[in-house]
Formats: sequence, structure tokens, C-alpha cells
Amino acid sequence: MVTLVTSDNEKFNAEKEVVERSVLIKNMLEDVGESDQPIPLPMFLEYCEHHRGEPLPAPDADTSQDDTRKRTTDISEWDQKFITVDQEMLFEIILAANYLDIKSLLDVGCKTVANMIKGKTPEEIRKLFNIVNDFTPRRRCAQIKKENEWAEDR
Amino acid sequence: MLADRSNGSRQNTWTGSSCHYPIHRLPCELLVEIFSFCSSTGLCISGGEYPISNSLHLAQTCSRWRTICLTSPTLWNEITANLVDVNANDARLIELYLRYSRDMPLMLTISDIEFYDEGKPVHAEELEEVSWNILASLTAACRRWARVSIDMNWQFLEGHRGAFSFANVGFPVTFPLLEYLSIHWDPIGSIVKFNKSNALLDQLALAGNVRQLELLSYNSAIPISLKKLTRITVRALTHTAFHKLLSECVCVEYIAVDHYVLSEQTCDIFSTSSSLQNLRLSFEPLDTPEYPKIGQFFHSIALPCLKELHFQATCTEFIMDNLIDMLHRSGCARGLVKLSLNAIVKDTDLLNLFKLTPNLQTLMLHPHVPITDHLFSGLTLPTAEASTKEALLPHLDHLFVACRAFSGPLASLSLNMLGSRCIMASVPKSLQSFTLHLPLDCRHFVDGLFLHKLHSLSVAGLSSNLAPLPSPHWTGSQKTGGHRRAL
Repeated sequence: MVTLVTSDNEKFNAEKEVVERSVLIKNMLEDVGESDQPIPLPMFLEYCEHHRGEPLPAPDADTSQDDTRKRTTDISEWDQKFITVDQEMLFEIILAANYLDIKSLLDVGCKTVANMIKGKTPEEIRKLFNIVNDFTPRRRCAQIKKENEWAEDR
Repeated sequence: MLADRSNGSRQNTWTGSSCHYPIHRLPCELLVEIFSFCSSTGLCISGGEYPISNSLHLAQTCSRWRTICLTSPTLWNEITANLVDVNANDARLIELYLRYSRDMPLMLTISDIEFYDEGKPVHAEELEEVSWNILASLTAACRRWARVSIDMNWQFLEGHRGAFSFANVGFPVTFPLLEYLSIHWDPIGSIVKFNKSNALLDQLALAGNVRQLELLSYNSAIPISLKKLTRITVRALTHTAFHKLLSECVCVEYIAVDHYVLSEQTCDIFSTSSSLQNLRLSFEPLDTPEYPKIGQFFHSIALPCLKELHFQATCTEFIMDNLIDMLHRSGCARGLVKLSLNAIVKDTDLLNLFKLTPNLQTLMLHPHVPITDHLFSGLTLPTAEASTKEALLPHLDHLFVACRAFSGPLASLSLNMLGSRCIMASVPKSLQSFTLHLPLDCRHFVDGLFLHKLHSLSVAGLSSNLAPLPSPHWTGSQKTGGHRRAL
């Protein structure tokens, strides 16, 4: 068993096989070895518990192949339910999954944001994420107008 | 000027305050990750409709996102273009993608499909000038082609009006990055077109790095370099061309042929492939004098690494001994893990085959395989009572039996699949009672569609989230985890 401690000092016990879905924790456990010292990390036990036993991505997986492979944004039913949270929490999960190096959870988070963005106009995207349109009028007039020529005459 | 400064200052304030919103906390590399999922569909141009370009919308959201998008060529390297009814603006958008993708390998899907009122897709008979210009732009970038799929009227591929002629590209055109190629034209083509030459394919003969090929057309031979091919799907292939593949494709792992044509005297050809793992063959259902000779096909090959065999020959009775001989000769019988069969065979021959292939994990018996009582009584599968040593196929975890495959009036059927993860079965109309024993962890039980003729169903071990759809005919009950539950 491994003891995880959240940033607000709450303790969780979990099996090593479960928490090792995080490459970061796996590496830390390997570095520290057998120890009673708790590891202070945010908790993602529910996610890791559900996906226990699933194959982990190979550490030397060739990511360059992604360039020529279609990336689907399909999310399993359970993951979809798990990630149905407000924006604040969603981006926290993405940041934490990135920090903990849990590739599958990072993908779920990124796909969720991507699905929120897909099919929306720039104005709708700005509204969704509260992004300020900071293009100068000159820049907007020139390059973007040129890019948007496809929308004319329709 | 003061008004401009005032506006700018107000905008900076908004930018500052919006930084508190969660998405602004993401570093650039995570935004790129998200954007890559957004742009997974690439640019989609379908004449007469608004193009879909998520990358362009992302790049026009704010200056930070624009910088990220324009410095990430992977967001711009996929283009899907249906060249019917396109206009000059579509062409400009494609040019934009070609420019922003810089030197990245390109993924292209090019078609000329029209939909008439009946909704049936057909190839265009003519293309507008702008369509030819788009083809010329895409062809000019042929050195970056990595995954290319072309579904067009075959006349357009014959060098007509210079499409795919590569005349302006400069020679030699070697397609150094091309790894996946799919060419699909003339879906209702006939074997008459077998030997038709094709300007595009003549050029592609120089593509030496293709690993995956889908040639959904009628060609007598594979027109590109075979050296690195690992996956090949072809609509039709002659016996001679197949043997050429086996002998020259030293890396090939997968071959699928929709129509295998036995039209030649081939007794003297024999080939061995030491890499082929998955073979899918469907014999051309032609009533030719050669057709009854399909059994001889297996006399001419040895496949020591074969793991999966999908075989269809429905016009005449298939002599199983020829397949068994091949498995013996190749020494691959114990390595076979998947068998999908659609042929007229005797049940005793099938049982003999199963005795040789104890490691089968997936068995699919399609409509032309006659399923008899004798077959099922002989087909002992792993159960709670029978140990794996006693079972004929101890490792079977996926069984599919097609409806028409059941032979004769079966009134009831019982299948024990306690060692399995997945079962799909369709049952004959005569069958009124079907007892199915499934393991508790079965996650892929597919029914409802298949079992709608049944009046009663008894399922043991079915987990609660897999409850089958009740049939309007059902008056019986099902057991879930040992507890009977009224439907």
C-alpha cells in the first residue's frame, strides 16, 4: 500500500498497482524504494482504480507517428462521466494529469476541451472560455480577412 | 490617437482579468495537445457547403492561440476535399493549409462524389476548372504525401487534362514520405478493366516506402513497389499476382482480397511467406470451370506464421482436407487463433479441423457453414464442469454463429461459454429455446437483434448491465447472476 497526501493534508491509502498508473508516482516510488513516508500528491485514485490493469503506454512510445495518424476525440462512457465537471476543475485535472504524467487521463481532459471547441466560431470560443479578442484592428483587417475569403459568396 | 490608447489600455485590463479564467493557466504544449484533437478532422471541403476548419477558428481566437497555431504545422496537414461544386475560395483555403503545414507530411482524402435525390453516391462525370486547379496544387505537394486516399472516377486518373500527371512537379517523383495509399475508383467496375493502364499508378510505381495499400479497383497486379508493404487490401487479384505478392513482399503481414480469381492454370506455382499472419480471401463467385478448383489453392502455399484466416467460398462444397494439409505443411495449425469461415463444409470436417487448432480464440461461422446438432454436440467448449483439457477449443473466447448457418429444425440449443468474454449468436427461426451460459465478466454480449425470434431465453451469469433487449415474442425469463427475473 502507498499513502498519498493531498495538498490540504488529506491522506489516502491505495494499492501500488493503482497509483503506478501515474508515471511520475511510479518513478518516485522507484527512486524512494520501499518506505513508510507518505507521498504528497493530489488524488486521482478513482480514475486510476477504474483503469487498473489496463496497459500503460510504453515509455519509449514513438510519438512522431501521431503526425500522420488521425486522432479521435471519442471518450468512453465512464471517462465522460468522470470528466463532467466545471471548467475550473476540468483544467485542474488536465494540469495535474500532465504533472503526474498520466497520459490516458490527460487525453481524456484534452479531448473534452476539444469537443467543447469543435464546430464553434472564434467568437463562440472566446465567449466559452472568456478569452479577449486582442487582435489589433489592422491585423484583423489584413491577414484574417484574407483567411476568411472562403466564407464569402456562400 | 488618445481614443486608440484608451481602447488598448482597456483591452489590456480585460486581458489581465481574463488570465484568471482556467484555460489561461494551460501552458502552450497543452494547448497544442488540445488543438491537435480539435484539428483531427483536418480541413473538410465538400462542395456547396461551408468548409470545416477548426484550426482556422482557433487561429482567429486570440493572438496567443494564433501564434501557437501558426507555429504548429501538424494542425494544418490534413485535407479532405470532395471536388464537386468547389469554388475559388475553397482552393484558396487549401493553399492556406498547404502553406501553414510547411514541410509536414500530408494526409489527403480526395474524392469526386455527387449525391442525387435518391441519396446514392456516384462519381462526377465532369469537373470544373477550379477542381483541376486544386488537384494541381495537391499534386505539386506530392513529395509531402504521407497518407493519401483517392476515390474518383477512373477516367480522371488516366492523365486526363493533366490531373495527377505530375508534369509540373519535376522529376524524379519518388514520393519519399508516402506510407499509406488507398485508391478506390469505379466501384461497379468489371474484370474487363483488369488490364487498363492508369497515369496515376504509373507514377506511383516509384513510391518505394508504401507500407499500407488499399487498391479498391480491378487491376491484374499490384502497381507499386512491394518491398516495404505490410498491409495489402485489393478488390481483385489473380492467382499469379497473389503468388508474386507472397514471393516478393518479404514484410507483408496482412493480405485481404475481395475477389480471388482463379482463371489460370497454376499447378506449377508454389509460394511460401514467412511473414504473413492474417489472410482474408473471398473467391470470385463466377461459374467458371476453374471455380471448383478452389481447394487446390491451399496446395500451392505455405504460411508458417499464419494466425488469422478469413475464408469465403460459397459456390461449391469446399474440401477441408486441402486446408488441413496446408496447415500441416506450414506447421501453423497450433498458432491459428482466429478462424472466420463462410463455405459449404461437412460438420465432421470442421470438427477435424478444430482438433488441429486447439489455440483458436475466435471462431466465426458465417451463413454457408451448415451448423448441425452433430457439430454442436462435438464442439465442447470450456465450461465450469469441463476442464480446459477436455474441451475441444479450450481457449475460445469469442464465438459468432450466423442465423442461416443452422441446419435443419433445431428446437433448442444450449451453449456453455463460461470461459468466454464475448459471444454473438443469431438463431434459426425454428429455435424456440436458447440456453446460454455466460461468464460473469462477459462484457460484449450482443443480442436482441439476433434473438428476436425466440420465445424463451435462459441466460446464466449475465451481469446486470448486459440485459438483452426483450423480444415481443418472449414469455420466458432470464437468469441474472443466478436469480430469475421476469422480463
